Amino acid sequence: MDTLRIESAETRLRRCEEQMELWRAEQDRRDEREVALSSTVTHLREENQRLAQRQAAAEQRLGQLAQLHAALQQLHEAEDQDTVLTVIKEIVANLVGSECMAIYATRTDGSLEMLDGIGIGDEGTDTSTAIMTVPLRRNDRVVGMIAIFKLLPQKPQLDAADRELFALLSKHAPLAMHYAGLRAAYANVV
Amino acid sequence: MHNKRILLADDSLTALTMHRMILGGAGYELLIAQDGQEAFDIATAQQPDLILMDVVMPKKTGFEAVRLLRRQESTKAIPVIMITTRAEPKILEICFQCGCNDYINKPVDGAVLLAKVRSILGN
Repeated sequence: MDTLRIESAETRLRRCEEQMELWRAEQDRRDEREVALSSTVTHLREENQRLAQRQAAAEQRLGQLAQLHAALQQLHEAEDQDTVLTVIKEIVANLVGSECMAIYATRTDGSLEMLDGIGIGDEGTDTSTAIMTVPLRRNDRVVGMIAIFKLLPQKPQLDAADRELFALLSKHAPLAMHYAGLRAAYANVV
Repeated sequence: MHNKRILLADDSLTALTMHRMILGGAGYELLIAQDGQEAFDIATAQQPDLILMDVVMPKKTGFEAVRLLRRQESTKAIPVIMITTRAEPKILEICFQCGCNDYINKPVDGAVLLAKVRSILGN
């Protein structure tokens, strides 16, 4: 009986050791899988962050393009010259963020005549004090100017998106004024 | 599931066109008002999920319109983001006193606008 019990204990011990080996192997596989998964999670986190940054940049650009589109659409939908001036003021006030600006036409002698503005008196403002001047060109001729004298307090400085808007205004504002004038003249004739 | 509806209240067609492009492109359904009274009327009738309100508007200012909306049972819980020209503490105080949930300074940055709208309406 004693001999039989000893053999049985040895067998059980061996089985336990084999089982332990299997568990160790299984644990090693799990560790490997955990390392692989951890690496995948890190990679996905980085990828997610990159995509979030790209989305933010795309949305910022979308906002800038929406500004340009809105400016262009409103300029060319204006029915008369007063509306064109209002649209220019809206663009500079709402999209650029200025609280003091003026729009001028160039007289035949080259001097400037103030047409409209925001935050300035009837006497106009000395354009040499402007922080930004935008020449209004038609057929390569300067027919006027937009002068920005002051930005809103929360707008520290002009940026690349503002310069895109100014480039658009420089080209399209005089065209919009010209066509609004033609429409008005046509309406008077008819 | 229906798209979330946003009421845009602004007397500037340029600002409206820009906001319409940004928010419409993000899949929101939009309602438009061009003065404070119209904003109040549309909000009462249509019950939007969010109102984006300019401060300076004809007939009723944005502040007046929000005060009226907050007094009315059917509209008092509609979130309002105010669009302010000046970011002075006094203006912002009035903004929150009359019941606005958040504000955006002009000039409106498209990415900031979308982020604020999403934080209120969820993605």
